[in-house]
Amino acid sequence: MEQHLDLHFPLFARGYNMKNEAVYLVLKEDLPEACKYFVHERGGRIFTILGNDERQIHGSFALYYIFSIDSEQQFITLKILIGESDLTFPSITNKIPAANWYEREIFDLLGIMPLNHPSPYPLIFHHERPRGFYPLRKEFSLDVKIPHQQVVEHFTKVEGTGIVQIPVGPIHAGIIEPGHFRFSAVGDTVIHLNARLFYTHRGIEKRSEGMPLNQALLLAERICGVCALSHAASFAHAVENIGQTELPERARFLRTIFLELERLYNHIGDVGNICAGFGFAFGISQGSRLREELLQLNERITGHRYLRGVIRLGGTHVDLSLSQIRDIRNTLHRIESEFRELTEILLSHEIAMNRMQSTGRLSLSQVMDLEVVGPAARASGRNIDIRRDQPYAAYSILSFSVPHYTEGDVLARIRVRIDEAFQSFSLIDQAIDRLPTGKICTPINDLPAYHWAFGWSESPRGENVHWFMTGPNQTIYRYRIRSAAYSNWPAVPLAVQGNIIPDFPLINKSFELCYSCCDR
Amino acid sequence: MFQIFSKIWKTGVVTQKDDFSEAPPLFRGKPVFGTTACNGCGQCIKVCPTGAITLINYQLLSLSYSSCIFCDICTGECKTGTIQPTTEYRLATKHKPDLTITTSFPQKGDDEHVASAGSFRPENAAKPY
Repeated sequence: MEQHLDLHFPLFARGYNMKNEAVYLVLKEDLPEACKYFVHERGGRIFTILGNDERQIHGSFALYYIFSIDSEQQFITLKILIGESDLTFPSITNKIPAANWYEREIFDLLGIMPLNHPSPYPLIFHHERPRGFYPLRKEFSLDVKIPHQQVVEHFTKVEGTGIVQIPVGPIHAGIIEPGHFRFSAVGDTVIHLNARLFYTHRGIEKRSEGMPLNQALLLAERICGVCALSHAASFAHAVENIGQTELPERARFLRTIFLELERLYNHIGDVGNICAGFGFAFGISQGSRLREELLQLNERITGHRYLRGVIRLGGTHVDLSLSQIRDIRNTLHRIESEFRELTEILLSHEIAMNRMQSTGRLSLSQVMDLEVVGPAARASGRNIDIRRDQPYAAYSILSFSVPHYTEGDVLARIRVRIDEAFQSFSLIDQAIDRLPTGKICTPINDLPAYHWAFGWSESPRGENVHWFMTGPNQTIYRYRIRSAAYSNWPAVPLAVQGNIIPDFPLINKSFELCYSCCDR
Repeated sequence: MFQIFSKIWKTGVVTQKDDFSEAPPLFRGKPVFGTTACNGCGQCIKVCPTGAITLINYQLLSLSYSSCIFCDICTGECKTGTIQPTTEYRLATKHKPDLTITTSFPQKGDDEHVASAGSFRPENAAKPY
């Protein structure tokens, strides 16, 4: 089959792309077959899918399908060209359901229509946007205001005696981001859930066009509040991949330390937050207290609680002195033992266990179909972790295990977080022990125009993938951000089915997904 | 149950009184104009990612806290130390003009030794994003 593919799809530009990325230029009609081959026979998983307006470069649009083949530490990129005369492409969602959102987004933002898509509804602009406004086309100017039309929205209806619809949001009682949830329920039991997100889409990808790389890094840091560092690291990784810049050893270790500090404050805070789903005030306050201590540690050592301004292209901006390292060690040592105490209390608490066990179950086949990532995937038995599977920073040198469970319920998801937090303590310890001396930043090589690369990192919610193509003079031509939340949101409605409505906040919290990571 | 009570007892009160006197030394607070004079190189205007630093009539260098994102890039670029980093985080004011600070910007040829440095022209500034 490989040979067949090589003959069938002419090999394209393998030379100038990333060293472990094979690129195939595929004809539009061969796309479903090629995707099926890489996903089903080669064990690839969707890394990201994007559309790009390349008419200025060679006269047509292009779609990129990027698969990660973890077992071979390799990436496959399928590129198809879409001429302006026929702005369609064959949908693969029927065969590979995880492609659903990506394909709908391509239509919303670029106006290239997926043919035979099972659910061809707007994703990002909902229904209130008239057709014909495609922001990611290059002729679309930033100052255009898209008109708004009043429409009555239709959600999947479940009908029958005793079935009621309960609309919740987009404005919520708590301080959370906007999302509309529509439950169809019989009594307390959820039959079906529609989740509608993308209420505050910010157009970051459009905004970044033409932006110098250093400024785009600051923009990447601001995609999300709680995984600011993972986003910055992913973007910097992509820049370093295009320019083939070798990071200084010390920078690789420093990045690892900071990335794990980010995971720690997220995981420990999330373990506390999940307790809010069943009103366990002790857990909430202890979790947020420990998280606050970690945030203050971040502020002391980097100057920013959420670790912004830590990454620079080609390394890091912040170095650690001996006294700071001592500070990290002492603080983490204390927090580790306190966190252990908290988890022991939580996991032996009868009511807490009762509420978490078998709640919000996600099966392995659902997880595989939707290509869920991060702790949610590992809780259902999908053993992926990009830190181990496609190592970056210093993860190939340090030893750590990837905790995974098979139950797929809220309890398994909280357990994955707890275990990972302890792995993070150990990773930071190892990284500090082996922290090499030397410089922390190296100038990045000049990037050739119209080349692409991608960078990735395992954020506390799963892998973030940043793909970008360079424009002339060290600027950005197209920037595509795929966050973990983007992969995981479609799984939440499935996990809720068959559970009672009062468990929804608990299930939702156990995924701890980010709205702003989607609303790029 | 006993464990929970004991942990709560041991933790005690952790909230702080509102006298957060000083932020940690590395904290990136608002940048200010120090006492050293600006040499007019214009580097800060070029590197500011949000266009918070601007030039008014070729005479005044102005920094607006309403657009500043406290990235600290300008303070790193400033060779004369005119822009100084501080750890000040209390930015609220009732008077909007308080959010803009200015310092004098040498004009071209003002002084022998800044002649070359003072050649900055606004058209060289990066587009504010």
